[in-house]
Amino acid sequence: MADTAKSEYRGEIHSRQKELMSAWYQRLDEAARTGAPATVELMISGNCVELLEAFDAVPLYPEINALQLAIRHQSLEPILLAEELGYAADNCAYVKADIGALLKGISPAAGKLPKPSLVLCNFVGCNTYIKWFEHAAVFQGSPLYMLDVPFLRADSPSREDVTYVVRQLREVVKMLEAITGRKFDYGRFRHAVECSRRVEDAWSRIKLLAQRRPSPFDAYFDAITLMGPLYVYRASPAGVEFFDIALRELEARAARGEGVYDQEKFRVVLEGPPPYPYFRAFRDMFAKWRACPVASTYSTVGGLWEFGFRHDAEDPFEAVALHMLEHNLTNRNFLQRYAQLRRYVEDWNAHGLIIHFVKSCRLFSAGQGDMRDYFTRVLGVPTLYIESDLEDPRYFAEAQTKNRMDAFFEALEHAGAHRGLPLAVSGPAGPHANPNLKVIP
Amino acid sequence: MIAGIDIGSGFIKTVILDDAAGRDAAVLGRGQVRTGVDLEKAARQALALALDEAALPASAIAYVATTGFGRYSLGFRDIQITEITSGARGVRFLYPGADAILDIGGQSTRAISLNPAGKVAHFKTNDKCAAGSGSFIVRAAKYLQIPLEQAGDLALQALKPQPISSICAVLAESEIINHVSAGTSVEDILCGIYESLADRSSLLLKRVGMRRDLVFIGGVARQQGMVRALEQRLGVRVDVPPHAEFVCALGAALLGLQRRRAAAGASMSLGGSCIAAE
Repeated sequence: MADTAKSEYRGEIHSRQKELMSAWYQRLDEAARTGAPATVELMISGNCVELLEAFDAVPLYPEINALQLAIRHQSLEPILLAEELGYAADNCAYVKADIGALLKGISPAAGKLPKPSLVLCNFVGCNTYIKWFEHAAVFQGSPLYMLDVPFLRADSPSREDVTYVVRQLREVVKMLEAITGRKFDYGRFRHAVECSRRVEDAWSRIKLLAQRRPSPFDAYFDAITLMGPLYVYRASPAGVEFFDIALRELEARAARGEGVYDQEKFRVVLEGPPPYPYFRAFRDMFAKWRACPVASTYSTVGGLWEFGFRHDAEDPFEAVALHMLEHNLTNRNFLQRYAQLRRYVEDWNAHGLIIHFVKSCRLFSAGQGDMRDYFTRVLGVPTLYIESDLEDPRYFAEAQTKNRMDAFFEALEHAGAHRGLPLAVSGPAGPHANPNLKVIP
Repeated sequence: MIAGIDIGSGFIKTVILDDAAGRDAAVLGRGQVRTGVDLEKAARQALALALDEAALPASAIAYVATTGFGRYSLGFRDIQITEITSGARGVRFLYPGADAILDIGGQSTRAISLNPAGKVAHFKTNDKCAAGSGSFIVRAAKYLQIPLEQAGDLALQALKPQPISSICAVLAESEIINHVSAGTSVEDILCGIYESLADRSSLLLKRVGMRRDLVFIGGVARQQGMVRALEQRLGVRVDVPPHAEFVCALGAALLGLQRRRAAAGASMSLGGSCIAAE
């Protein structure tokens, strides 16, 4: 029988995270009851929380609310309501859960969610958000600003792209001035951007800790714990304090040689978000094999910092624009996603790649079959491809998913991966390698 | 003795393996019962049948390896292995040169390719939908009012096979009803069903990189109509072992034997692999 293993570390990180996220929901509840502070609904990918911080406005992320419903097994009811209203079966399940919960008055927290002071659609890489946020604005009676972030067509955005986004950010400033009744404080904005830089430094160092054997940090399941504060508090002193604590705690674990598992057996890279309705069951499928996720693309949807980018307080508007345009996962092109994953496999010394295809997210999941072929046939990286959904429990088949996971790790075990036998990982790209593939600098 | 128990969705299959016979490990007995709802009870019945055939007492079993969807459900197991790994091992034991496997059971279809060392290189399974698996044939036979055991042979007598194009088992039944209404013969409908299944299987096999001949295992492999449809669709020879539905149980027993010997200090063979799984 395969060994079972302890899959979780509980430290100050977790208690502080809980406090911070509870405080966030309390502020949202306060806004729902009293109308203050101002709240801005926006998208996690490429979020410009620094601008909000400059006005002491609170971000409201519908994705966080939706995933909280899913983890608590409460997502199906609002999804069904949205489908009754006419949302298609293959529509994004985040959208359906959010709209359904909105209309039913369901909150993932003890308090209420406010009517946003502003719905700010920063649709980075995902066109579905345009309609999602339009609907959210209509259903809630909130003003809408559509912040158009051009998709990254080349390795870097053009000067015109940056200027285009900066001009829109300045328009958002005007709207926030009108909504909050405050004059824009440039110094406070720079301070927020500087807080982000410090958080990004700590977060990047935490991610690099996972290159150690054993990894002291689960860069998928534990990363999700840190991603809440990362998006809500990144631009604030509270965020800086939290990530400093998290880094110190994890560095201490690394110094003691403590890993996620007592005896780490496999190291894997994850592509795609987890199936939140079955979060525990999915996590246990890794724990059973003592397989530690050492890197994940999902942890970069809100920002990609481990390869060097930082918000720069010297030019804060341009820094925010560059983050939105270039340095988050969802606005990047497919070859850049390949390169990111390849670098994870090589630099984090992974035994294999696991791709989770999200059935209700065609935009992000399309092409993952080719991704699998690229990693197996061109690079020789053992790869598992599984399908379910991040929000809709109807798409998750536990027995089939477990079967594939077990078979994948059995195959790795029989190939001797955990004993260091060569798996053709990290080899030079074969004759079919795409010449356009570049490793992210 | 080693027992390999394959707890499938339709049947539980058990193999008793002589652990003293080395590479020429011999199967001493087999047993098969319907799975039902009490998996442990049914597994014990299947084991008892195999022990009867082997003329052995229950105390002769020193190690139990389970496989199949219910592999975790037996309290008296020593090890559990997925049917992908056990199917690969069973086939490689029976056909040392095999490099591609199709396994169609009651609810699942699995395509597997092996590397030169006989390890799983790639595998792909069907998803939640059972349209490409044995239960589809069971439902079709029931609707057409023919014994399941005759379905495969009847299909061989088809003169003008009728295509079943739906990708959904339930909708495919509607197509069957349409064919019946149009006066199509049962033989032609059955042949169309097998050709539809062969089309689906061929997609899975292409995805895992099948290169040459195929070994076909699982309960559906006993149906000649399906074997012929696969040969025609793929243009390769399709080998079906004599006890096709017991191959995963055999593989589990062989892996159990290997694990037992490894625990006793004997060496295990290992091979390089590039694994692609789906």
